[in-house]
Amino acid sequence: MARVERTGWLMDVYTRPGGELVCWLLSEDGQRWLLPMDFPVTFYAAGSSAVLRQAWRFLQGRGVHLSRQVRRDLFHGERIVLAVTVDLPGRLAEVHRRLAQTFPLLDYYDADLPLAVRFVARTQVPLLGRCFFETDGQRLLGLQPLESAWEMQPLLPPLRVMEIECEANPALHPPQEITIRCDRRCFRFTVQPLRAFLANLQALLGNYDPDIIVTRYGDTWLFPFLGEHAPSFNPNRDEQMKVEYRRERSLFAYGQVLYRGAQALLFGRWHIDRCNAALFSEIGLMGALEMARVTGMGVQEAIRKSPGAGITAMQMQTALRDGVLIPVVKQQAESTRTLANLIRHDRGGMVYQPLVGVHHHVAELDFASMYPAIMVRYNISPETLNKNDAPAGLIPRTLQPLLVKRLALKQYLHTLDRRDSRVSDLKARQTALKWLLVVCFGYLGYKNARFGRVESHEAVTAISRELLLQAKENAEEMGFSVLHMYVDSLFVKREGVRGEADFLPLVETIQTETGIGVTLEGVYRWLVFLPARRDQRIPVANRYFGVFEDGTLKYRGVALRRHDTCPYVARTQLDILGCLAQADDPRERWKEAWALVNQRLRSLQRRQAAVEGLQMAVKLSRDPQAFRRPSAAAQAACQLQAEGVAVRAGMRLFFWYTRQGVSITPPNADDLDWERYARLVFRAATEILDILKPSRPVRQFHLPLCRR
Amino acid sequence: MCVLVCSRERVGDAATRLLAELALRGKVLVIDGGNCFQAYPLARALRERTTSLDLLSQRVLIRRAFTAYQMLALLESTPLAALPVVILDLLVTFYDETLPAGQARWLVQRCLQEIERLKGAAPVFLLLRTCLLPQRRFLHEMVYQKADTLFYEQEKPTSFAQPALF
Repeated sequence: MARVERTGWLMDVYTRPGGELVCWLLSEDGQRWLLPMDFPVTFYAAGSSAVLRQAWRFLQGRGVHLSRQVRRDLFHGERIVLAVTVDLPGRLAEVHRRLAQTFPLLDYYDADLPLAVRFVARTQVPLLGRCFFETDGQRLLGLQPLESAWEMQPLLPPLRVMEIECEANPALHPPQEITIRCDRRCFRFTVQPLRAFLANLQALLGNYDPDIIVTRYGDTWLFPFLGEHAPSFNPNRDEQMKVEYRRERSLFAYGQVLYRGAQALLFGRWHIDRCNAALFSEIGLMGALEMARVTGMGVQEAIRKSPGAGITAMQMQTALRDGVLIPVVKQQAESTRTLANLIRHDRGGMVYQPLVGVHHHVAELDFASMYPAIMVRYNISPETLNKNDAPAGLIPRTLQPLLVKRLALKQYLHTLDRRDSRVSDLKARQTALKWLLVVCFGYLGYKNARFGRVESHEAVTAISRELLLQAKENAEEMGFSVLHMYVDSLFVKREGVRGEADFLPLVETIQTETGIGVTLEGVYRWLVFLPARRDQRIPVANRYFGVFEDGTLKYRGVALRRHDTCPYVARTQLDILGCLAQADDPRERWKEAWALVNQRLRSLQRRQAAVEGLQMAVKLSRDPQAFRRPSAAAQAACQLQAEGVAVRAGMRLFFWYTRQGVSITPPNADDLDWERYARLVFRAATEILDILKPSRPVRQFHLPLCRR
Repeated sequence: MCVLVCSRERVGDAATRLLAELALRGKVLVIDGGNCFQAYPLARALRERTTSLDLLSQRVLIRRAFTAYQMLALLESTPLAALPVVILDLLVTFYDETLPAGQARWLVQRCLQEIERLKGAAPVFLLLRTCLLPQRRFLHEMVYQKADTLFYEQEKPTSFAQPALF
């Protein structure tokens, strides 16, 4: 084939078993290209010169290029390193593993970077970004970027999407029928006989040639099932590749046990399992593409991993572009501090307890992306700690474009009508960026963050507390009462002030004084701050419900927001709020709300509620054998194990309350524990309505002080 | 080296009591590997024993490690000094499943070498939580072998069982 030049999109990069890098490109004429490319990669080792010399001798004759270089470590400054260059990127991990096993005392850098991150940093072509490429049909000869990852309205590639769904959870019932949707067509196939099903699936894959396969249980059932029963079936576009399976695991992060299901990754096309992609339900495909574009992680990775992995990938890109070494393991330990110092500095965000009760015409003011904005504005990065006039740090430089893009998208969204067809896509993209910004602060102190340091984490919260206090003073100087402050938001009101326009001067003042963007979330017609369950006199932070002037509800910290609330109870609580929202004062609708609750309770007594709405969901906090008491979660876990399902900590389990305990399968109406569900409904109702209870007029008796 | 092995809940309480007593006598260095150092309970415990809290809170020196590599780096960078060292939850960071078992063994060995070094200048106390990961129990055994005194709180049975009626 003659040399051709094309304009198109870089979709993904990966390595073949031989170790060579392959670029998946989509040209504007709709052609899909899988082109190998020369892409040597380098990792570094640093340490004592004697050990480095031994390492050099060890690597000689092993097909690598060696050189002595001086490179910059973010914490140690310039270091003399041994640069090890491997022609085939797929071989790097093996070379590094052998070297690290033989020389464990050396410090290793750039040895475990995701290939896509390396590729994007070097070529400047973002994933899903438009590019110009040259090929002879066999190899990729040249690649140039035509846009950056920060393009506000990038032109999207014309993607072909295939959806594969099964009717039930395969962990409990082996699916009998599979539904496949592609190009507005819907096909239903029975799984057995398997040979016919495979022939149909293969034909659809061949004819339609999808770029994305979106499944339900594709990671945990469909592809492992096909791999086991039909080893010759290959769903990849790249026929040299096999499906890559990654095992399930439970991990402890962010103060909770998380479960990551097994994964099945494809090559030359993407596979997204809706049930195993944490963010997919919220950000959808558009959000996933945006996340891949800005982070440099492949779409399949970006949608399955936490946003923290995305932030790390972005930091790696910045470091690679700046020539900063990326350590394989973080070794910077906390400096010595006293107890007094720790108590003074290691605090979280500012919380100002709310004034419990009903309030009218309350404005909620939010600092826009407060923590990332602080990190950028105050140049907070591990290497800039305790340094005045330091150049912009690695973290602020990574976050700056992300922050700008998210705010620009948000502002653009505000200019559009709600019914505009672009709104949903823009919202998804904006939400994807929001999640990256949300976790970037936590990642400063996260144990496995390459460039994290707990002191910089503390610096951010210290500044945030100061800024919130500054905002409180501004509000009080302007005659507002501050009802509640919570980390990056404050609730204020003033007698005689009702409309949004009345609060704008305060917004502008806080913005000017703090230097951080402030948004007016809205003005509540009424807002109720709830007390603690145990004692009505004790306020609880971030536990409230209210209705904005336009009738929109907002609620935090109530049963409705909890993941373990069953749909029937959640629906009831939402209806109660809807009932209260019709009045100018929620106390006026207290009786009507209770009438609604009684109606729901009667439905339960008559056993008229749908079983699906009573399904409970809990996250397993530990492995089943570690439970000490037979809690509902423990019982559900035991039943699943008895069914042959492998249950691990962090998994989300579904069950129903029955008279005998719990059931993981939908029970008969006679077996359900209706009384227990009634108690849950009652509890959810009292959570909201108790505080609105009309107080009885106190009758005062004036007793004679002394008898005449 | 004195080693106390107890439940996760009790490591924090035991550390608070020990540190309060040591702080009354002079400076003490805490190396926290499990993020279980309880600053406020310790401050309260000190306040119960003295009125000069400010002075005593300057005596408690803290360093925290969040990964196994950081734990080693902390121990390596701790100079020999005549102040007691209390190491909390030394092994928690070594339970990380992304850390291969062989690497964990090697790192613990090096940590124990460093503890031996520190032991030469001042007493070292190790407070460990009982091991919940059977596949990493060997790390505990490595520590027990190096202990001069070992206090061990028996583990309670963790799994539940239906009690027999008769």
